[in-house]
Amino acid sequence: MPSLVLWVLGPILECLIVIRAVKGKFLKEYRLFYFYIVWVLLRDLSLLAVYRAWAAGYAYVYWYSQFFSVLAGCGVVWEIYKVALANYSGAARMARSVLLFLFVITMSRILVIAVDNHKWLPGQTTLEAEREFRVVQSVVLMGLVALLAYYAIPIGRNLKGIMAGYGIFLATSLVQLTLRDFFGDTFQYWWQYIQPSTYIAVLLIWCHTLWTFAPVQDLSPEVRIEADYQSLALETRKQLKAAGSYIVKVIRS
Amino acid sequence: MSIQVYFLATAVMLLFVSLLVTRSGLRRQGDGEGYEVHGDGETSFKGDSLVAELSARIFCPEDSEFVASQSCANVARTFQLERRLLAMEWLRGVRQQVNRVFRFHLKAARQNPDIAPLGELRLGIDFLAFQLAAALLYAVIRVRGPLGAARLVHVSLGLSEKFLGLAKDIVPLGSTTVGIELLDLDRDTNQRRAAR
Repeated sequence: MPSLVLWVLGPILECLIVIRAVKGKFLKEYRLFYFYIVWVLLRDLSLLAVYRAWAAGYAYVYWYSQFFSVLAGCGVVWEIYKVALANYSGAARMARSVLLFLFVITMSRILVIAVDNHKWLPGQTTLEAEREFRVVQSVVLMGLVALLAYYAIPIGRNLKGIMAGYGIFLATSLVQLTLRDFFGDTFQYWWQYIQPSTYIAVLLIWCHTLWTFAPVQDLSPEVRIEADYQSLALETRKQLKAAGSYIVKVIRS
Repeated sequence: MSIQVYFLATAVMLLFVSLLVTRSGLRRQGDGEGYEVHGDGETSFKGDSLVAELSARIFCPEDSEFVASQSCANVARTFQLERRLLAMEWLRGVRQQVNRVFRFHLKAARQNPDIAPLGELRLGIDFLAFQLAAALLYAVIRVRGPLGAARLVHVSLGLSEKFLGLAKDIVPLGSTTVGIELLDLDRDTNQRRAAR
């Protein structure tokens, strides 16, 4: 009974998130995120139907559709990057380089494992494969958050909610998939409660932060510089050196 | 088991980052304070010679020796404590200036489409190195006082000069920025000592 409640609560909250966006006319602002929510909603409903009609095939449908969920999740990370850095071409360029590096590093690990596997999957089971892809998303998301913090890019409440919610979802998924892999079937009993519960918590975060449209507002004054980037970097490096020399000079004199 | 730990560590890190985002948002989010620009003067590092001369007194042994010779141990101890606080405050001021300079840079760079990722990375490392060195110096001042810190800087710079000289003997270097900086500083210090 409790698992059924959790199962039903998920689609209700997902519907609520989409309805609020349609009503507030901001669905197009976060297209890929809402595509993800709609996909998860349709999947949840389909899985419910599959479970009722064809219980034996539930596991197959679950794991194979889960791959598409992982792909749709990549879209959410891409959306965070696009929306947050839309007005910051310099930071966006930096992010492209850093995130591409992180992506290549984490994906190359997956490719190496997949080449060794006769099923061309980065793991012995679909669970392991999903976990590997979740790690890629996690690393890229952490890199993106670090860059946003480094350049102090202002983010609105909506984007903050999407980031926090998806981050918590990824982290809890990783923990659950690892524990499921480690403990095996004994963890299944707990998993059927823990997984939907954490997802409900994430949906509540999204409901709260995406209730109304809250665009990004940068209140800090604009810095207008005539010089190009090379001159700016050179000047900053000079200033850093000057500060270091100043400290040594004062102490040594 | 080790691979499980790697996955769990990634998860914990991500959870921490996400909770940080939920709790307080990102650093200086939208408040403008972090990148506040007060005008051209305050976005460049100011280390004028008069302030440098005055600050240098904090790290000079002469005053301490004079106080120690002319007063009781209690007064000398209080004097040392005051000097320590002054030194820490001075260093904090320098760090704040550098932070302001770097924030100005980030603010300008984040909107500059010509940004060079490698150069930016190198600059970030330079800034981190400065912060680490300053933090280390701060800790030394706190533990050993300004005179102890000055002695440590003397010893470490002397050692690095020796190694640099040794390296130059082994491999003839064209030019080394650090070496030139140290040599310039030495010349500057020697001139000031001679003037005294």
